[in-house]
Amino acid sequence: MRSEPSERIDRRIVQVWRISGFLEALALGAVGIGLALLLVKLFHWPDWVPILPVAAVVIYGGLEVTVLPQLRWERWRYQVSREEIYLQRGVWFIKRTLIPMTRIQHVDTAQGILMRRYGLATVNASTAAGTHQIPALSEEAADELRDRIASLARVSNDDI
Amino acid sequence: MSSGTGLPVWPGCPMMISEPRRLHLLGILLGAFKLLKDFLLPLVIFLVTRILQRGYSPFWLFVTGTVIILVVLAWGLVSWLRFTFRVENGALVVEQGVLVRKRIVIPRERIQAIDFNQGVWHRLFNVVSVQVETAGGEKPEAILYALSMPVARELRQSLLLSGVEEGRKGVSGAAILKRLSFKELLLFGATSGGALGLVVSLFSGAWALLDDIGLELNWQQYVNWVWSYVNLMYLILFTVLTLWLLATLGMVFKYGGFTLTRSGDKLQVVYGLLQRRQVSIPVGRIQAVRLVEGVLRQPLGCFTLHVESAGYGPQSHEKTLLWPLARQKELESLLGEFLPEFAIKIPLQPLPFKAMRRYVLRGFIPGILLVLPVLAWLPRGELALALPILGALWGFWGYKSAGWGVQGNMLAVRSRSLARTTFIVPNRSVQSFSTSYTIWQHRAGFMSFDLDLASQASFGLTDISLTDADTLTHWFGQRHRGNFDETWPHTRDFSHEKI
Repeated sequence: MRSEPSERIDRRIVQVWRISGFLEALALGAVGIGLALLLVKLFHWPDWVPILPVAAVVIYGGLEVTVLPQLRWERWRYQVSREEIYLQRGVWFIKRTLIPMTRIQHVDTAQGILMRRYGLATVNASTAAGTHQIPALSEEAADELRDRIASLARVSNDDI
Repeated sequence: MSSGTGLPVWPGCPMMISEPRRLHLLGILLGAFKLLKDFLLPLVIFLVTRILQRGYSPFWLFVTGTVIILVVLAWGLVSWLRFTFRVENGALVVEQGVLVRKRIVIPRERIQAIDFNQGVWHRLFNVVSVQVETAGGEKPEAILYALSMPVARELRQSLLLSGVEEGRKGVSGAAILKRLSFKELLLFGATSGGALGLVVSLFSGAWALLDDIGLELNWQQYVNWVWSYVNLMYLILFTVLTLWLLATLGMVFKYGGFTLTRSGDKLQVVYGLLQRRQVSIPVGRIQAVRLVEGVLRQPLGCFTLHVESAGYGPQSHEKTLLWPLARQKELESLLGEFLPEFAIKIPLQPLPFKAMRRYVLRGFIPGILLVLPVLAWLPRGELALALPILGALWGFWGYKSAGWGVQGNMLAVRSRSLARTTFIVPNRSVQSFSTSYTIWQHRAGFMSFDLDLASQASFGLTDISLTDADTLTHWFGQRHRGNFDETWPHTRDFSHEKI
């Protein structure tokens, strides 16, 4: 089997994932508990029903805050060569993708609020079939990589 | 355009549409109709409430009617006046819009396909609606909704064919043409999913009815009961047959007169008895070929041939239809004649034997999980066990159908959800290639793969062996690393297509 891509993404993303996972769990939990309370009050479901969303959120949020970001980071690899972009991701379901440079139509970088606080950026490379992400590089590295992919893609151009 | 299929070529008209042009006069009417259609519902609501509240007089009706017709016609006229198109520097330029002016520029290299559509009105005046498709997006990039046939052909000529090709045309050959026979058309209609859907839903309805009344009875009574309801049975049978015939008839009207033409590097499909459609696709723009063997068609040894083109999104299933119905043994000649680029024998290899268990379980487990509560709580729930068993059979079927093969730079992948589908795709069309596995799957020695195409199609197989996954990764790597051996019959020069 072909070896893993060589580069890791920025370690700081683990912290970002923890925070966003926590916030996501909170939001989901609020919605879930709201719905459950509604069921109890309006439709007289048993009183223990709201415990279910709480339990689900505690488990999900717990995983998202503790082990999952670390595992995800350890798995996430990328490699950009002259011919192709090679990605690997996934914790349980592991996926490796090859995108030939000739297929790249445009490439950009993007940052959310959290990412900006940590000085991180995402590189998005689009083909005619869809967009592929390299989720977290330091800002400079992301800019450098974006420009490198753009120039490599330009050299090897070929129409769909 | 082949000389056999239609009108003589416009006599005194050179290949120039550089001056802005207007649509055919019929465009005024069509624009008016379109407005009327768009505002039909509010208009009807307005009229009905008005009449209900205040009654009506013939005079009022007359005035209102006239006003509506005048407004609508005026709109049609103004939008017709505002609509111009031209070909400038190898790009189609369309300017349109009454309230919002819009200018669309489509460079020739970006055009994936050009379709002609003719409704009944269009046909009366020998006018077509021309749709220009580019990559991406669900809707056509530009619609010239009324062009006289000669102008439309001229436009298509100047947009689809480059000068080089014009010169070669005489050499590279006469157009070849294939018509769908009426028998095939009928068979296509009769075995279409639409009819199947109707019949199945009706049958299941009838089945539920029988279930409700009939299951308590023993056989003797059951037979008696059926006998007493024999009229009802006939009625059901009759309805089913009628619906089926109607669906078939619908398909016959829609796809009647199906003709496939190849001239030079252009494929053209024409069909429709009432509404006539014509789809033109440059061969160089075809990403992949898809053979679909429907559940009803496979036992008859028939399949449907589709092309994957970036001009059409995944929704526009019918537009990518290249040939509605062919026998298995015709495949070679059909592809050989019309798409020699894809006519290559690729031996398929099945999935590893060990994968069978996994496929069967993948069908069985969701079924049994769904059924468990039913088993526990409902009387006579054991009937529901049919579901996981069907699931397992479906899984087994999927396993039996799956296969893949590589020949030169072509890959064939066959799989089944319901219909058995085979993709034939050249390396160059693949936008990205992924292998994936879950930890369990990997431990069992399997992987999955999938490919994405510019037509937004995505396909692959679950549970191929690790070495096969390597073979495929290697196959995919070959071309863009440039050490690929040119074995497929790609001897024609398509380089001018890839500007």
